[in-house]
Amino acid sequence: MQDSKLGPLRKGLLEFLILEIVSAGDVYVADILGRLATTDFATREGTLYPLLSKMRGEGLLDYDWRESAAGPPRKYYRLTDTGRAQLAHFRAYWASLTSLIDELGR
Amino acid sequence: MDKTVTISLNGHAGQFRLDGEAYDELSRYLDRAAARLPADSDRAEVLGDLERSVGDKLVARLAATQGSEDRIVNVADVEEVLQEIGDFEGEDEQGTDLGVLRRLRRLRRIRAGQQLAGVCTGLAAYADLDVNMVRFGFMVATTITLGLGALVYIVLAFALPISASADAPVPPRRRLERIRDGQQIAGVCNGLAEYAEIKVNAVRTMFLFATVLTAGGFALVYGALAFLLPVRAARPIAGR
Repeated sequence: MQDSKLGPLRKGLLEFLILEIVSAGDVYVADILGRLATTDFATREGTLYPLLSKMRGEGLLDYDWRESAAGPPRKYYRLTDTGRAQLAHFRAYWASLTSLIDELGR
Repeated sequence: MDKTVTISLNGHAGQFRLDGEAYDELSRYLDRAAARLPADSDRAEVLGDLERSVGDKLVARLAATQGSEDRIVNVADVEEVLQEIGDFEGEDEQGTDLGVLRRLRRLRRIRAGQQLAGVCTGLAAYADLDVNMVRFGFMVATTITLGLGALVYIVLAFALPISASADAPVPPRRRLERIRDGQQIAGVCNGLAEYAEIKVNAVRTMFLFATVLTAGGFALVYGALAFLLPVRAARPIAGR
C-alpha cells in the first residue's frame, strides 16, 4: 500500500503507543525511543518531546525527576488516571475496529 | 570561523565550547523549535528537554574522540547530534504542521528543473517567484554589472547545498576536499564538483569563466583552495 496514505494514521497512533509504553512502568525518553526504534513507529526526540509535553498538558501523563548514574537527572514518565482511562478506551476501540474490519472483509 | 563560543546547556554542569559555525547551527535549530512551540509554560520545558538531550549527545561524542576529549565542538558534531534528534515537529497555534513550510523556506539549490546548477530554481522556491523571472533577473544583473552577476551565481552554486526537489529535505553539508583521482592540476575542481554535485567539467568551465571575468583574480581562489583544502586519496567506488 502507498505509504503516504498510512502516514496520518501512523502519526495518530503514535500517541497511543506511547501510552502503552508508559503504562508498562516508569520509563524515560530513551526507553520510549528504544522500544519504538525497531518498529514502524520509530521516532526521534524532535517529535517525542513536544508530543510528551502536549500529553502532559492534557493530563495523560506526568513525570518525576530522578538522578541517573551518568549525566544529568532524567524525567521518568508515568500515566495519570486520565491517561490509564484513555488507554483502556483506546484498547476497546481498537478491538472493535479490528473486528469491524474482519467482518466487512468477510 | 576562529571565534569560539562557550555555552552551557540545560542540566549540564560543565560548559561546552563551540566554534562559530557550530554555535550558529545549534542556535538556528533551537530558535526554530522555540518558534514552533506555543508560548505557554511548557515551551521552556520542551526547549529544556531538547537542550539537555543535545548536551548528552555532545558529551558522548566528545568522550569518543580519544585523547582530545576537551576539543572544540564543530559543525559536524552539531549536525550529527541534531540529525539524531530529528526535525523538531511541533504545531503552530492553529494546529498546522509547519514541517513542510519550514523546509520550503531554507535557501538551497534545487535539482528539479535546473538549467545549470539549480541556483535559480532554489532562489525561486525560496522567494516564491517564477523561476523564469529569477533567471531573467540574473541575466539583466549580469549584463549591467558586466559579468559580476555570473560570479554571484557561481559562488551560490558552491555555497548552497542541493536537494532533489522543493519539498525534499536539505541534505547535511559534506566535507570539502581536493580529490586526486582524475585531477588536472591540484584536484580542486574535482573536489568542488563532488561537494556541490555539479559535473566536474562544468566546474572547470565556471573557474575558467570566472578567471577571465576577473582578469585572472579568480585563479588566486584556485591557488588558495589548492593550499587550504586537504586531499582525499580516491573517489569512492559508488561515485558517478
